[in-house]
Amino acid sequence: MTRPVALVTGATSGIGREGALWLARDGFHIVAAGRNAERGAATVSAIEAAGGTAEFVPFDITAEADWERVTTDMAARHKRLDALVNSGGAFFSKPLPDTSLGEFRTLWETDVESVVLGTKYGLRTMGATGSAGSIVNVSSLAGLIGLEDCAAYCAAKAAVTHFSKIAAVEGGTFDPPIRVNSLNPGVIYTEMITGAYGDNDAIKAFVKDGNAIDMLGEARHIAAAIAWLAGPRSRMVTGTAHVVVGGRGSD
Amino acid sequence: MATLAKEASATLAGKVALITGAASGIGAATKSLFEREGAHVLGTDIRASGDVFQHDVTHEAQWDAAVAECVARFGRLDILVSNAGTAQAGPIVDLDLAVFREQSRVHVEGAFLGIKAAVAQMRRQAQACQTQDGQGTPARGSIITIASVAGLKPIMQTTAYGTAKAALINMTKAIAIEVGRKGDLIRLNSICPGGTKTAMTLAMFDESYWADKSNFADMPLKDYCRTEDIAEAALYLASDAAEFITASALTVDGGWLLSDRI
Repeated sequence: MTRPVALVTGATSGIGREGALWLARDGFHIVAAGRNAERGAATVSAIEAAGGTAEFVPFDITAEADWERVTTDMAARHKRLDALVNSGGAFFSKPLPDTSLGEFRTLWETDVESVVLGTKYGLRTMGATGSAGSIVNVSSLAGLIGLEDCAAYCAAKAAVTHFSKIAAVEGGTFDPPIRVNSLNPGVIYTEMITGAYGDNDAIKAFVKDGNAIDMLGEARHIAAAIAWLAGPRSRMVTGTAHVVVGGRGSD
Repeated sequence: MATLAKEASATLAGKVALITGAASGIGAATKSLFEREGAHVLGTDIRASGDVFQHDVTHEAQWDAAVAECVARFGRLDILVSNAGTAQAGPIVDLDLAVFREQSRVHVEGAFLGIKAAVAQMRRQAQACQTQDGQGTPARGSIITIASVAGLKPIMQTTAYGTAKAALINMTKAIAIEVGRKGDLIRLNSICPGGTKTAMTLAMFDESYWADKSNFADMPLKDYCRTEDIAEAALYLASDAAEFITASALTVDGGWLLSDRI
């Protein structure tokens, strides 16, 4: 297979699915990862219906054995891994006094450990196949500033943001060098928000209201940033935290 | 489901850009990339050459003239790349106040005047397409200031340059918030290049420096930036794909910001 290959986690919905579509448009073969096979199949057929190529691999991003199995298989079949987008994650909002340690740990596993494992096996696979790869870790504005009632999420996303910088330094020791960046979206109107707060005009207005510009953040805005960071046009960009926030949190 | 087929039109088809410092280096590379992507570009520089318009960015009247020239040639202004700059390096104990002021004037005042002139022009364009019911339409545009990684982390002997670039980065963010909160869809972002081989930096470090890979061994990507790398970032921020990006500082630096190299 001569076309570049991208592994995208969380590709069964929201930012991950849209990111996979944009990467397919840029010529990547997509390995779409997620837990829900039905939704994964929908992502694959959406890409294929539009002229791209994709496959779905059912996979738990918090399980190291799954990462090892999937990346070993990819290296054997595709002989390359050009981009890894760690987009899978979870969110909840709850005041700290009501947040249990169990809830904190579950979010940490889904949002932080998945990225650590993904980056570890991404670097291994890119290194083993000699790929000048790009790893994009989807973090959040919540990893840069504090948001009310989101202590666990803010802590997790700060960990992802800083971990990505450390990984960028290590990525530079590979030959060819591997790039690692975090992408820090503001509040984006996806299933992650509608699942937590509801899907209606009042929530939409609330989400938009915090932005400096009068625009609702949508998955396509983040997908464009994923495609740019994952592709060759950003070849000298590494270790950055790329904020796509509509000006939110900057004042 | 939208088709995945690449749109036939270029990224900046029909857009009009004004780029300062366009006679060489990052400005020249950005001008040619923007033109390849379908934009009409007025390039300006301190000295006129070819189709590059004479323009001293530290003079307010010359900004008015440059914007007027752009509108006269192409009818409007959608994108400003405030790129004109000048280098400085040396120990602070030997730093002349005049040099410090020149850095501030070119990088901070130059961008201040340029952003002011561009925002005014973009707002005039929006007023011109006011709807019949009298409701205003938001002004649109993308303004990019070329800053430096030296404005994000202290780099040895760049006291005046780095200070000016830090001010430029924060001023860009402040104006991004201001115009956004007033209802405009004008986006402002900085690009922070790391070491980039240009006419400006060649005056400080000759060819042998850039050819010696050991000078970049402590950078994560083990290399310096080409002017085209910065131009690509400008294209990205100028494009409609980046319509939700404002008040950001995008580093294109091979990882210099996070390395321990100063």
